Amino acid sequence: MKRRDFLKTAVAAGVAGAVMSPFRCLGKGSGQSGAPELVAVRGPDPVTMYKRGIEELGGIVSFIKKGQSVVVKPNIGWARLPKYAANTSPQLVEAIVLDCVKAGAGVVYVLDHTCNYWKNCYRNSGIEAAAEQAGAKVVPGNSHSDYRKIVIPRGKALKNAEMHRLVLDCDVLINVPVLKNHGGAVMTSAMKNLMGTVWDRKYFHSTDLNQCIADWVTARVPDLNIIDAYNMMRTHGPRGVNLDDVVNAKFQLLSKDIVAIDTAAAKILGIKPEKIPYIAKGEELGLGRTDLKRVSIRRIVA
Amino acid sequence: MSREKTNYWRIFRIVCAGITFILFILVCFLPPVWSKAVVGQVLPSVLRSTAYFYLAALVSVIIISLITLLIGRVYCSFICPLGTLLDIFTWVFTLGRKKFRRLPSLRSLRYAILVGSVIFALFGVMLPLGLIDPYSFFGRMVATMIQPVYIWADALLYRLSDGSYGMPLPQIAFSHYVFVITLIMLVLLAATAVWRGRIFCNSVCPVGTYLSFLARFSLFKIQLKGPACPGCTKCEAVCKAGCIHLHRQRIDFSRCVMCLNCIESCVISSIKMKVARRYRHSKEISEHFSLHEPAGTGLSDNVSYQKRHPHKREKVHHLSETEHESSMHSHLSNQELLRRRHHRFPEMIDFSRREFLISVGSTGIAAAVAAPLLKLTAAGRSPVMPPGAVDRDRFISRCTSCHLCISHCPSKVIKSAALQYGPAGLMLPYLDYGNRMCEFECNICSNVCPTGALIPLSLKKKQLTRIGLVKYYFDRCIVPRQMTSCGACAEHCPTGALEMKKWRKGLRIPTVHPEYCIGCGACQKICPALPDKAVVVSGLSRHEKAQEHVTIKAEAVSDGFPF
Repeated sequence: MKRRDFLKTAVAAGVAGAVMSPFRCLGKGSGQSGAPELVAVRGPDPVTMYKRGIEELGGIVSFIKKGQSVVVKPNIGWARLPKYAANTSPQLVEAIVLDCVKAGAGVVYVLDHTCNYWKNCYRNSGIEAAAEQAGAKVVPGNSHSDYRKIVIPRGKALKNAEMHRLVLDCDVLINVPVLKNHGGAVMTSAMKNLMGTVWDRKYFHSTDLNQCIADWVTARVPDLNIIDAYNMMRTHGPRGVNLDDVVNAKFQLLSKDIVAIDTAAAKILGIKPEKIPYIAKGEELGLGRTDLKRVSIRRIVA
Repeated sequence: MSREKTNYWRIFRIVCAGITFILFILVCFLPPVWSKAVVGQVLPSVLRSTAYFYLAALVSVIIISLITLLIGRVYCSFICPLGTLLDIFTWVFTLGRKKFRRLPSLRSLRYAILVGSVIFALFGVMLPLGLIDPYSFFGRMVATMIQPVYIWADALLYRLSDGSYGMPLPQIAFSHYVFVITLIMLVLLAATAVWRGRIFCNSVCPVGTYLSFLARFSLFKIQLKGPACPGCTKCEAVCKAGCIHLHRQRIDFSRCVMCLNCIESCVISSIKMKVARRYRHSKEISEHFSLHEPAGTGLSDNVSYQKRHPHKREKVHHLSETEHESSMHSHLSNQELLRRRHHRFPEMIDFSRREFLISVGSTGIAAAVAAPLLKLTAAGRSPVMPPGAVDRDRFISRCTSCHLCISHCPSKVIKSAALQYGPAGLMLPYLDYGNRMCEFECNICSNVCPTGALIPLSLKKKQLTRIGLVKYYFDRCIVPRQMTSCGACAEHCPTGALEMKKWRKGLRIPTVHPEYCIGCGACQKICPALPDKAVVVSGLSRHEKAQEHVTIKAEAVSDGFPF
């Protein structure tokens, strides 16, 4: 029943997207008309919120062309169960992958450079099973042989680093972080989540973490960011200690603008965006805008 | 007819040995639950039974002992992976054409080694026993020689196949000196196997000695049947234990490893498994082999003679050999071979009882003196021990270094110690947090340990077991040194023992709550400070119980949109 409903909605969204696609070009320049730049959804579960949210952005088809290779980059950093909200919700990853496959993506990869032993993370997070079922190739991000050195011309502190080859080579990068408080970087969300595509994270920590996070985003700007804040870790992040750290926030954010989406995420987490240095550094690098008043936001209660 | 029958036995033995051999290699690679198969190994199961009640280990030891009391050392040829390895060495290096020779009993040697190593263990140092225990050696060999190859092959396959095959495994913490020790032992074992078959099993192996003691009293024994024997020596040539003394028409069943080769080899099928009887020599046998000896020294009288004059036994024997040789020339041509052999290998039999007791006793006393001295070297040294080790002294006295925990550790943080525990703890597992950490959601090591050196911990219990304690060095930390954010340590801490607290200029520095620390090393692994890490976990000589983190429920989020 659930799946059928989902398929219906997905097809409807696809059709809607296809119909709307000519108009999308018009809306792209202006920012205010057509698709909004940031969609904020509140709803009963991650999948419903995603379906409503992506619909507002013109469906996944406005991001993926047929046959393109897609990398979905959730947060699978920790060998913890979904209820602890240390990783992205597996249902959300599954819905996104299904959507991508339906939109005709040639191949959908799901990967992360995990902090704990990768097999435990992939298994305990539930993401491996969910994404594979949806038709994705779930690949490890913990083999050095998968990383290629790249130069980061716009980087201020980070001049070069090794990026996962699939992220480097993919046509579409969909960044799907989970929103958490963070001991070192104050908050982990869209920009911070991309640290899961670099090999040497220690370099970041030892060389101005905030600047490195912003610099790293310039190396490969995601084509779409979807922040999972359905369950949100508010304390002891990013790993968390127990369920006391988790609140049921029932939020989801979708945007192309990685700085704007992180600014909004900070507000959901209850932290002033100015307290998160990498957001401002991202704006300095021209990755997006922190002034949400100048960003077209669509607020939806699903 | 009977040849057919015995052939099947030999095939059965080879199949069994092959299966167990492969199984004991695979236990290091298969999911951890397979490691339960190691209960089939004698020393680990004996040790485990003394550590805590584990029915399977107890039953296994009892069954193996009973089987040995019934039909001899089946274990050595059917189950012991090292025994099979020795057979493989012999076969491969001689292309299956090895002709074995009768061997001296070496009874004093093997009992001295058993008693010495057991006394070492009882006095708190497992090292000697662990070094020569067949399973522990085998497990060590797999962990240090086979697993690295597997991991490297996996990485290569992964790279060559563009990611579709293989699965990047954590690089093994390769220990060069354990590799060297194991390689030296392996070469020595291979050499002895090629030279004299199973001599290791009958001179060094502690399990072999224990089973040889039981096999002396076996109900059924392989026996030579007697008069019809033409003395072709084929059975001696296939006996890898060298325990057949055709000349005297006896088999030293305590040394027989039950390979069953002799049964098959006998041209007249006169070697059989039968209910053991006291050895008797009929006059016919003596005549058949022309063992005419001076009165009172004949074989039939030998036993009673020994009883009366134990110290004269060797002398008497030499006499009989000489006698025998001189009379042999004129007899069966087959006996020519025998004669030459005897010439090259003057019969060495057991020492007298007194000599036996002296050699075994003195080894035991030496061990009892040496063990506490060796153990002293571990004092004051406390590397991080795997969870379940409980106490350093206990761990050193119980771990045989079979390295099954090292093979199974998913993050490969468990490494073989050099002198971290001192010489007494050579090759013992310890946790090296240089660039690895003990996974919070994992309790595999304590649950695979076959010797009970690690007591099995539930995941919940393991997550509260403090195996080390963190120390924070402010002056090494990135944050105060460079005035930039870091927090990698607190980020990775699974228990909240490290927390980022507001410091100055909007920066946060780590604060330690030692009561929550379990010493998993996540913080040390990830700390980017160079050259010395700013958070360092040091081991404890005794594991402790950590406090469960007391937390406050995070504040809920209000309705609506905050932007």
